Amino acid sequence: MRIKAFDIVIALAAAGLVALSAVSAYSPGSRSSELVIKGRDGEWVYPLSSDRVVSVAGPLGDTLVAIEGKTARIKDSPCPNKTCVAGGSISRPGQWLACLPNQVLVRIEGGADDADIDAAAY
Amino acid sequence: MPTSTPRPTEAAARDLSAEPRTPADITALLGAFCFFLSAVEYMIPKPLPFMRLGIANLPILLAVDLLPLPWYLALALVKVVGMSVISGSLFSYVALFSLAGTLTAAIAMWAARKVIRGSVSAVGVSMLGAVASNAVQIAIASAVVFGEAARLIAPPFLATGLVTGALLGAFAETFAAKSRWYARARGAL
Amino acid sequence: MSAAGRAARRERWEACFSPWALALAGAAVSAAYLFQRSLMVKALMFLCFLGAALLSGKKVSLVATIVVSAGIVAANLLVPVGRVIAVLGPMRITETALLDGVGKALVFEGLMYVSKASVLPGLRLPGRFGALVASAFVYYDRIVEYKGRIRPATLIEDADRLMLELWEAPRAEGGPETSRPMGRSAKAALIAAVALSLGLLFV
Repeated sequence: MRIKAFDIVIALAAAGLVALSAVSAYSPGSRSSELVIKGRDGEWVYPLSSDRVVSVAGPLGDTLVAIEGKTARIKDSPCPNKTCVAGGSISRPGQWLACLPNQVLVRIEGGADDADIDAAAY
Repeated sequence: MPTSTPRPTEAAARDLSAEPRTPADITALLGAFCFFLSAVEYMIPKPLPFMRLGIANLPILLAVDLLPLPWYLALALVKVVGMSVISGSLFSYVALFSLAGTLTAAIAMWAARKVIRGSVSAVGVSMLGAVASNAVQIAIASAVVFGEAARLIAPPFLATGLVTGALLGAFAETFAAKSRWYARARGAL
Repeated sequence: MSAAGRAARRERWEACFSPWALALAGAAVSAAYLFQRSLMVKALMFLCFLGAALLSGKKVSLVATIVVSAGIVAANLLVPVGRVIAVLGPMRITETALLDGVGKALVFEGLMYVSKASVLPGLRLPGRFGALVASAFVYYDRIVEYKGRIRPATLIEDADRLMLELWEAPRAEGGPETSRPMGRSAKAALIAAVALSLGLLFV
């Protein structure tokens, strides 16, 4: 039985595909980052990849956290100054937003650069 | 899984041994071997659930050089539909995986043989079919059942396809060379 | 669950329905199940399908179902979504991911059970394709009945001999579908099942 030229080509291409999928799945840098919301009643986790609006209950009422286009921001909150809403949006691990009066903390965790960003965030 | 087959009356089989054989005969015969090899694959204990040996696709691999395209595709469908009826999984996701995997393998193998022709042997053809089939099945599993986590099983699943594809191809190459039935079937069309 | 009891149930089930009507009902119910949104309703339908599969005498493995379902739920829990309800080591168990996983597992296994209950081996598919599949089944029977020996050492030669024997034997043609008149209660049961499944989509 003779092995032909394209048998090798296909074998190499297939091996390359396997290697690629292994790197994509198993390397630590590929862990996607997630949004962690801590409120009065508990903790919520969401991937940044799909858009949604999350309602978090606190002593003053419900804070709305919006995830859009891989970023997160506080859309609305029942606090008097609304500094949290003006806080803009976050997109990288380590960044955070908070509505202190309503006891809501929004933070991005995970991903490759988690430790480094903390120092650079401010 | 394969519990029983329908029992059509054999009385309908007239003595047609003198009649020339048609693509339909080859297709039905190879289809029957697809069922048989599926049953054999089911019996073989596998340490890990993602290890598909794919021996049920061996008749389709042999048919690449035997059947014209419409009958070749019909064979793939006979395998999928027949197995779904035997195991009763016709309306389930399992049948969807079987359909997607078998059709992908069949089309990939046909394309490899017709485009590359003499520069590829059954080994390469079979490898391409197996890896393509597994890739498509992982994609469907990701969408329908597992979500993102399917990425984690993809590497060993694809690697299994590469290895089993190569081994099956080697067997098919040897079988086609030695088999008298194969020579007869080629000559008949 | 003895095999003899199962075989008896199977004969009774197959005697009640005509293969085509049962298969069509099964297809309709499967489609309705697929589009069902409510987790509670899906769970109830799943239990009905499990019951139907048991009644039909087909082989039912609860162990396999549990293992597969656990796998599906676990895979879905790997990407946390929603309210955190438990923490296992480094992994957070989240509510939405859990419910999604359970829903997917119910659909996966439920479809398998309704399929088992509604697809009878006597099913004949229409047209030339149906005839082809029927022929294949006849050849399959002949393969299973083959009296010759197949040894791993001489695998190719033995397999070749089997194939030649089948090739030279009289051509295989499947018989027509044994169509059975269905009793009124069987018909009513099928219609009720389809109507209920479709109706539950709008509740």
